[in-house]
Formats: sequence, C-alpha cells, structure tokens
Amino acid sequence: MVHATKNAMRRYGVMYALLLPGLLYFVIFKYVPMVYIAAAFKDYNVLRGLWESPWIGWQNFETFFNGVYAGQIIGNTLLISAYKLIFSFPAPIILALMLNAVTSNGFKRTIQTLTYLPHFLSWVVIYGLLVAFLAPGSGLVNQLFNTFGLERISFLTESGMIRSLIVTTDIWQSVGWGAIIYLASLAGIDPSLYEAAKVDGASRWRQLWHITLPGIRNVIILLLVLRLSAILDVGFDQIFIMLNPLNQENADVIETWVYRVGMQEGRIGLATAVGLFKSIIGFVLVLGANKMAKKFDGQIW
Amino acid sequence: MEQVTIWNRLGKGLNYTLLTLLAATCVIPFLYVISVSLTPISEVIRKDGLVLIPSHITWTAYEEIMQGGRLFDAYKVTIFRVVVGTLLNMLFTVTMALPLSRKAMPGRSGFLMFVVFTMLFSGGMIPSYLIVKEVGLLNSEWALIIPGLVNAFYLMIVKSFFEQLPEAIDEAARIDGAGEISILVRIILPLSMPVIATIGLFYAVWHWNSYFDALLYINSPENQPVQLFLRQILLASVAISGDAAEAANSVNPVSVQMASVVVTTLPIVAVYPFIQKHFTKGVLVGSVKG
Amino acid sequence: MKKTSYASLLLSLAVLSGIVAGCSGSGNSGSNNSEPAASGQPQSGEQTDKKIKLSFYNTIGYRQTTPMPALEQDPIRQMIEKDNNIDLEMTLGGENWKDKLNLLITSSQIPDIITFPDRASAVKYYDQGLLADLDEVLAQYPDLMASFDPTRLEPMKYKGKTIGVPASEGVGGVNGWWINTTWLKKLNLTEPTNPQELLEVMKAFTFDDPDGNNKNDTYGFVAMLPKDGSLGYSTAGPKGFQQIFWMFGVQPNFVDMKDGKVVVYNTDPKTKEALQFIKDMIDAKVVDPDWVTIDDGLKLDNKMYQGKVGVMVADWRRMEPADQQKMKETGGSTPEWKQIAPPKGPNGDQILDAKVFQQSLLGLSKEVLKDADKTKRAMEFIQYLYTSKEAYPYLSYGIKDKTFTETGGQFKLIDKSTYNEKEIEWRYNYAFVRKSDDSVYFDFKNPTVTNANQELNRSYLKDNNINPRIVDTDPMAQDRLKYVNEMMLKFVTGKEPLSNWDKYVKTLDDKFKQADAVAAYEQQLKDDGVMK
Repeated sequence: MVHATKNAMRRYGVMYALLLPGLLYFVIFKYVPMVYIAAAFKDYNVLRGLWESPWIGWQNFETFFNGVYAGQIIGNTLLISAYKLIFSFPAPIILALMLNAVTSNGFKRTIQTLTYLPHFLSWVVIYGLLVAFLAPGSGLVNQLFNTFGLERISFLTESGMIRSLIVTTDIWQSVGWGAIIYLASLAGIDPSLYEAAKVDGASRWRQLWHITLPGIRNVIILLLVLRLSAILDVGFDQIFIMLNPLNQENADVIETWVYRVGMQEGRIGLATAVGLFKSIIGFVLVLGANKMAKKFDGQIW
Repeated sequence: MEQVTIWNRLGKGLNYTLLTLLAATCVIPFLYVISVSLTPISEVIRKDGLVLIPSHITWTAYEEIMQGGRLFDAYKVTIFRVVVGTLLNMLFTVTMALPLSRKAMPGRSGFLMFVVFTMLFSGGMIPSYLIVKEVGLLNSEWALIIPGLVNAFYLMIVKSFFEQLPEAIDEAARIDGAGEISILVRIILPLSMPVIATIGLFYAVWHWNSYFDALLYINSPENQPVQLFLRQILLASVAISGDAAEAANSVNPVSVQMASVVVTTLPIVAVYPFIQKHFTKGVLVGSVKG
Repeated sequence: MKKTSYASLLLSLAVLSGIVAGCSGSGNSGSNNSEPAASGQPQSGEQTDKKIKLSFYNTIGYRQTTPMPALEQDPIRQMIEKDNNIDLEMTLGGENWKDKLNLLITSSQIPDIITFPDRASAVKYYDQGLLADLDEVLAQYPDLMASFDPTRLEPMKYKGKTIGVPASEGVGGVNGWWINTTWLKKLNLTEPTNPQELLEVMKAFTFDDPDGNNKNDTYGFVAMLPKDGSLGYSTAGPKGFQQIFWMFGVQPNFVDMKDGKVVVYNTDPKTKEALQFIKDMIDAKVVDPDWVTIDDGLKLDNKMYQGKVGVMVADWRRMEPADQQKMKETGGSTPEWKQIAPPKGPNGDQILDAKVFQQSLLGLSKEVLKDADKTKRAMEFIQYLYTSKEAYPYLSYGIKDKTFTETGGQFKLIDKSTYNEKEIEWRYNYAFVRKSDDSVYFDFKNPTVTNANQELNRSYLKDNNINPRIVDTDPMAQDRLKYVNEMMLKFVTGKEPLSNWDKYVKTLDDKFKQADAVAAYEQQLKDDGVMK
C-alpha cells in the first residue's frame, strides 16, 4: 500500500501539483460557504448570525411540504422539468447534427451565428416581444385572428397553454447556444472514419448511427447526467416573468414559491431548506445516473 | 442507387429549409430590439411595440445613453473582467482538467466527486459575500473574477474532451521523454482547440452577462460593469419607495431601454463568428499529421 | 482504487474543516474592529468639531438604480459633508435592498442611519434587533419633530416605542378618474355618477364609434394586472379595477376596522357585488382585453396616449403640456381629458383611494446609540436634512444654476432640455426630503388644472390607518394571497361562477385559516395602540 502510494506520487506528482490550486479554490469558495446550509435547520436571524440563531429541526422543511400548494408547485416543477428534459435537452443535439450535415461552410456559419443570438436576450426583453406578438388585444397574432373573424386567444394568460409556451420559448432561446458544445465535439471526430465508411458504401444514416452519434456519445451522457443535478431548477428568470395569476395553476414552481415566501419575506432558513431539498434530489439522481452511465463506460467519475 | 440520391436531396432540402426557418425566428427579436431603439417613442407606443422595420430612424436614444461617459467606464470594467477573467478561468480549468482526465491516477474519482458535489450544494449568497470580504476583495474588480475562477460544469466538459484524446499520442510523447507540461502545451492543447474555444467562449459570455456579483460586491460607480448599466436603465421603473408621484418620472422610454440592450449585447455577439473556425472538422487529424 | 478515492475525499474534507475553523475565527475578530475611529482618538474639548464618518443606508431616494458619483463630482454631498463636518458614506439599497442590508449586517458593517421604504420591513428588522428606540433621543430635537405633521409621526410608533422619523413624504390622491370629454360630447352623453351610468358610457365608448373612424377599435375602460397578481390593493399600485372596488366600498387584500372589529374585505359580501360588476364590464367587452398583460403603469399610460380608450384611472398630471404633446404625437390628437369625481356606488360609497400613510422610515441602528457622541452627530445630520432652509433647495432641486435658479429667494427649476438629465439623475437620491406640496419641485406648467385635479382627488380619500399596519407573519400568508388573487380573477373572467362565492369564503376560513390571520392582525393593532 505504502509502496503503491509512493509509486503513484512518482508517476503523478506533477498531476497532483497541478490539481492543488484548483482544489484550494473549490475548498475556499465552494466548500467553506456550505457551512451555511445549516441555516436550513435554523430560525435564521441576520442579526444573530448563523451560530447564534436557534436550531428548529425540520420545521422549515415542514413549512414547505405542508403548504397548501406544495403538491401543485412540486407537480408543476416536475412536469416542466420533464418537458424540458424531453424536448429542450435533445434539441441542441439535433440542431448540431443538422448543421453538421450542411456542406456549405458559409451557410453553416450564418445559421450557427443567428441561432445563437436569442441566448443574449434577457427574459425581460423576450417577454416584451411575446407581449407585442401575443397580447390578447393589441398583439399581432390576435389582430390577425380578429381580422379573420377568429376568437382571440390570450396565450400568455391561459393556464392550458403556459407550459407549452415555456418549453417552446426555452428551446428557441437556448438551442443555438446549446449546440455549440456538440459542434465542438463533432469537430473532434476523426474524418478518416467517414472516409472509410464511404468506401464501404455506408449510407449517411448509417454513418450518423455508427460514427457520428458514438463520437459525441460521451458528451451527451455527461451533459445529461449533469442536467439531472439541476432537475428541480426549471429556470427562475423565465418562469417568473411569464407567471401570472391567470396561469399560475400550471406554472407556479418551487423557485417562484421560494421567491415569494422565502426571499421576499426574508425567510432565509426556509429558502435554504428548499434549496437543500432540491440539491439532495439532484444528488441522488446524479449518483444513480452515473452508475447507469458506467454500463456504457460513460461515467463522469 | 437512384432512390438514395432522391432521398438524400429531399433530406438535404428539408434540412436547409428547417435551419433557415429557425434562424429567421431567431433574427426577429434582434430586429425588434434594434428597430425599437431607432424609432421615435410615439411611434413605438402607437404600434403597441410592434416595430420590426422603423419608418424613419432617430438616434436620440443612443445619444442619451452615450452621454455622461458612464457607459464607457462600464465597458472598461467589463472588458477587463472578460479578458483577464477568461484567461484565468482557462488556466485553472485546463490545469485541473488535465490530471482529472488521467483515468489511472489514484484518487481521481474522489476528486471528481469533490468537484461535482459543488454543482449540487451551495451555501448561498451570505457566506460567499463573507468570504469575499474576508479575502479583502470587496469593492475590487477582482471580486468579479476570483470567486468564479473555475466553473465545475465547464471543468467536467474539458476533462471529458481530454479523456477522448487517443492515448497512443500521449504515450508516444511520454516515451520520447516529454514532461507532462510540455505534453499539455505541445500536444493536448492543439488537439483540443474546439473545446478550448468553446469553453473560452462560455466563460467570456458568462463574464459579459453577469451582474449579480457586481451588484453585491461593488459599490463604487467606476467599477460597475455594463450589465449593471443595462439593468439600471431597464429597471429604473422599479419604484422601491412605492411613491406613486415619483415612480413614473424615473422610467426610461422603451427606445432607450432597447438601445442599451443593443450596446450591451452586440460586442459579445460579434465574438462568436471569430471563434467558429475552431469548430471545423479535421482539426484533430491535421494537427497530428502536422 | 476505491479506497484511495475515498482517502482523497477525506483528505479534502480535513483541509476544508481547517479552513472553516480559521474563517469563523477571523470573522469574530472582524466584528471587533468595526468602529475603532470613534474611541481610539484622544478626547478633546471641541469633540463635536471632529470630523466623523456616518454611514447611511438609503432606500428612499427616488433613483435607486442610479449609482452615486464620486465625491468630486457630487456637489450636494460636498455641501452636506462640509455643513455637518462628516464623511457621508451613503449606500443605495436598490432593487435588492433587503439582500444588501442583510449582507451588511452579517458582515459587521451595520450602517449608522438606516432607511426603510415601508413600515412593515422596518418593524421586522426592529424585531430582529437592528433598530434603536428613539423616544429619548428625539426629545432633544424638538425642531426636527416639529417639522413633521403629527399624522406622519404617529405611524413611527411600534409597540409604544418610536423607532424612526418619517423619511419621505408621499403625495396623496395621485390617481383619479379620467374621462374623454371629446368623446362624451360627440356621443351626447353626460359624466357618469354611478355604476349604471358608468357602464352605459363605457358601452357607448366601445360600440358607438366615439372617434368617428368607422372602426370598432375603441374601448370604454382600461385596467391593469400588476406583477403581484392582485386585482385590487397592492404595493405595485394597480389602477383601474382597484377604483371599481372602492366604488363598492371595499378592496381585495385590504384589512380595515369597523365598530372596533377587524374586517377583511376579501370575504365581504360587497366584494362579491364589485366582482359581479367587473365581470359585467368584461362580459360587455368594454374593457380593453390587453388588461391581462398590462403589468405596469407605463403600459397603462400608453393606452391613454394612443387615444383608444374613454375612461381610465391615471395620474393627476396628465393634462400637463408634456403629456398632451405625447397624446398628439402618438394618437394624432389631444382629446379633452377631464378628471371627474369617482362615481357613487350602490351603498353610497364615493371613494377614490386610501389616504397616504407614512410608510417610509428613517432610523438609527442600535450600535450607534452605544456611542453618545456619534448619536448626537447623526441626529444633527438628520435634523439638518429635514429642517435646514439653506440645504433644502440643493437637496430637493439639485445643482444651482444647472437644475435650478434662485432670484431674490425665489427658486425655479431650469428646463430639463437645457442639460443632460441622465448625467445628474443621481441627485434625486437626496430629494427624499422634498415636501409633497412643493410647487417648485413639481413645477407644473398647467397649474390651475393640475392643482384642481389633485384637490378633487384628495377630497375622496378614505382613512387609512389600519391596513398599512398589518403584517402577515404566518407562513401560509403568501399561499392565502395567491388563492385570493387567483379566485378573484377566476370570478371576473368567468372561469369560476360567482355562485361559488360561499365555497370560496369557506375555503379561506377552513383551508387557509383566515381566522388565525385575523387574530394576528388584532394583536398587531393592539400592539400599535390603534385597537383597544
């Protein structure tokens, strides 16, 4: 054992040395602040500070789970999260593959640059645009509906449409940005593999299936596993701006609830408790997903 | 054979059409933002904000936000944090990713878990502020850089790309007697240009877009980045005092708001086309052969 | 392999715990050296002349998101510092003022003077131990106390203690009922005085083509739905339906006292009547359907400038030339908008809004009170802010000969087009001392009409000494609010029939424990001494 360690030090000494400053960073700026997770079990009072605030056990968690709307907001969170996982997650992969199939370099670069634009607009601005298009009275779409004698639809305040709207705008906003990482991954695939396939007479679909997808498989697995870590974060900025009392039945989520009850009311302990709950769920999922990924040799640690 | 080409052509046509449509929908918001910024406010209101092409152009909104020089001070801060911050981010990320990509290194999975854990659990805003204060970074532009030195997510991505490099190249270099650092600089980095460019872009954009750290850590006006400038213009209508008689006066016209979106967004958007060349196929083989 | 990985994790944790210990240790020492300047220097006779540092947490300035310039570029701060012999360290709260204040507190940088935009927050921080009782201190500053109207001082009391002084003065009767009299004349109608007449006028404005363009493009009424989702009373200041509710003498999310008992309007039968009326308005299609996406006052005002609406609730200053100009540029004409008295409801209620309640508060931290000298200097500074005749023009009107002029003791604002206002907008963060009736500050170009409008509005304000004192303390409060807001909207949009009103009341009582909330309100009102 001692011998093995010595051996490892000789072989990987430089490696450990390279790792050290980064680890120190993580300890100081990430791990030390984690002490404050204790606030989840405290009646946190800013003036008394973390240590002096009284312990209250699971009370913050109980407040959250016993809330009248707990079922509704957890349900909405899970649903929106699931939709985003099913639709928003693969979207950039598909876009990257579509771009990859484009042979004209100029076209490819133009499309790439244009699709990445929405990432730079804040949700406040995007919502302003949505209102201009979809407002029930003056919105462009409803004015058209009106001209053709159709019934006006209040897209932004209809609880039946809000989830689809959230997911669609999310895909639209993030697809170009998300595709970048897959494009980088595609660039790493050895072109000689394609040449060999062509010689073998493999169709484009077969090339996609046997060369392209395996080539980016590990990145997909990595991003999927890491995505699971934030399964209960469904995009506060977006939902907060799109949420209103007419659609909240289907759109109020954990984060917006925490904002109202925890942050605005200054209940830091409660906000921390809900954050901890979300973290633990994410942690369990990541552990599980990593075990699964191991079967494909795609584990991330 | 004939059939295949027809399907191929159809597929190609469909692919081009869909991509063009998607790109078109992505251009609309920018067209909207730019048009509103150039349109007289009365026209914007008359058309309920729906101006995609301005009927006549006015630059008053831009003149208004350029005045006073605050915007240029803010650019200085932002450019500093983007350039210096991204360089430091890359340095630390790459030096961490290299050891973490060595599958045989003892303790590796423990370290990886140590990193991933920080993506899941966080102590929140208060302790982070206390650390920044204890380290003495409060009110310094370094407070915008040091606390975000390594992004665990990006670190994992770089590490995963490093893992995929053919080990044979690495081993060959080692047999030639090259040290770890020279392997990194001479072989791994050139081979990893796509991911280096990507993560560099991600860090740069993150730096460009962040404002919350500046909001908390920076008090002096001369150290405020452009995103705070933008927020101040967008959110001037937020009446904290709830004083109805004062609230209305502080609102910036929507054309001024959109003009500030333009000036705070265009510079970073313009970076992307320059980075794209690193995404071209064949980088790997080319560099190995060369 | 496995063993070593755990070993490295353990090693990391060991390093971690070491750092935690070190960090918390240094944290304690940090709190001790926060105020060495005051006690460290030798005590001399002319102690009061010594320059001292005062930190001031400002959440009440009128441009919270505009940062303050450096000292050299801020003549107002230079004046304040010279006049008071202090270093003024002012921090703006901004939109995240609670977060910022919390950070200052936890990192032992508690400001000496702290302002709060609303009483409820001040009370909350007082209860946590931030603010000092000021009764004894204030007794030594009769001039300062005399400068405030007693009705503004009264809300500064909490549990029998005075916890601050009134910070900024609210203007009453800001929003009033406006009607487009050009349309009224065209359609030969008279000003509505009750709900039935109001609905008839709105219908005519919607369907009888009041602008004569042969298009069905006008609406009788426009309202808004603020971000917090309340159809009625809310801190976001919603306009429109709030005034319809007042016509029936009630208001959603408003607590009042009648015959010595706490009344919650959310379950009042008159609220049901008001909801029915609003539903009738919406069903009659006289309300601009955009009301569901109008979430701030600016978007509402735009409807007035567009000139496609006939009745609305808006700011009393809308017939000032600048607004008329906007109407002309946007809508193509300047309709004769006129303010009218609120229509009288079926139960005889003629209410426009609630009176202004002194919400904002300026207090001293407990830390300051431990140091008698510093307390004295801080109080002198506060007295200077609110009573100095020499400083007032600079604090309220800005920079002499740039934003205002003085001729023989008469002050006048300089037209804003002559200078770049953006550059010196920060000055409004000192303007919180301005008086609410300062005609120089408000600088009306059409004073006869504008002042008459305000006079009219002010004569229909309801007493407001109960609701602003209410603080929801139970964790269920936000959920209850959500339920009420959601149900009210469902009632008026027809998604829930009003016949389910009783069910709604029962749900509030059973599921949302309204009785508990009322009991808490009673306790708070007793603490404040307004309920026996």
